Amino acid sequence: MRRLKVLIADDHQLMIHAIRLALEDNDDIEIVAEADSGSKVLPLIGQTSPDLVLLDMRMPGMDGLKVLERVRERYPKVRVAILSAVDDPSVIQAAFHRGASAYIVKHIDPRDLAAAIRQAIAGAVFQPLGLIERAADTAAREADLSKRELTILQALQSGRSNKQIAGELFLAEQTVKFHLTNIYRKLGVNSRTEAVRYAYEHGLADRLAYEVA
Amino acid sequence: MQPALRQSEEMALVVEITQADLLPDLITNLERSGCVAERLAAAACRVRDLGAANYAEARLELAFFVRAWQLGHPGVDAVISE
Repeated sequence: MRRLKVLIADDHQLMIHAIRLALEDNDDIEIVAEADSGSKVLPLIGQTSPDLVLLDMRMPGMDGLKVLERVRERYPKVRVAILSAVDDPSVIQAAFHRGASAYIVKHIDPRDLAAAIRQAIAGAVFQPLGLIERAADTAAREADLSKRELTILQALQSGRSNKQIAGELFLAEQTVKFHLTNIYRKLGVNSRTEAVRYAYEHGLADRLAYEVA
Repeated sequence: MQPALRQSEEMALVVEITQADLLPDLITNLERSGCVAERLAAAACRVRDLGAANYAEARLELAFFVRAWQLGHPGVDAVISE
């Protein structure tokens, strides 16, 4: 089996280590190099011939968009997937316009990273992973929900318990309960079932994922 | 020292996990990543030198890291706070 060769470009060792942890059980993926600045990426591509560069947007030396442009010019067969904390739609659009195969926001569950890499290498161009939909953002603003409250509301739609939501978002269970109380008040509902229905009907959630009364 | 750098160095987040015996492993992994991690309690540590530009980014990256670490330690829950 040919392994998929990945070059990681991120100036934060924490992220490089996390990506290694996320990919270490995927035998079909090999990390061939790490770059801690934008200017190191092109030379390392020349030395290691990766299938894909997993590229941070904010890097010293040369920013992610500039690196992306240079990679597409000099190594058009090498795919580039952006992995970034930046979720500004104009930046995401700019990345796709310059030839990114994927845009992955760092909210992504690390378990999904390997699949995203495989899809990007296979040629599937896809929209931001880990990013809350803009339409939902707009609806949330109209309902005066904070980003955190929207995230919790969207987690509710899959039927997760408070404990599960707390675990996924690294919050205390009590904090989730606090946010839920505020969500109910802002939406004018009295239960999680009503909140889920409200979210579905007002574009805050994309599907009615569990049976509501 | 530039103000932005000072802010980055002073930024700290606390990670609390549900299995105290795994805290040394988490701290070791954080230190290998260039962070400073110090034990605060039996199952909690403070993490500094995250290298991020602001708290939001620091929290996002630390959360990604802790989730990735949890893959090797199923059943451990974690809470991140300031």
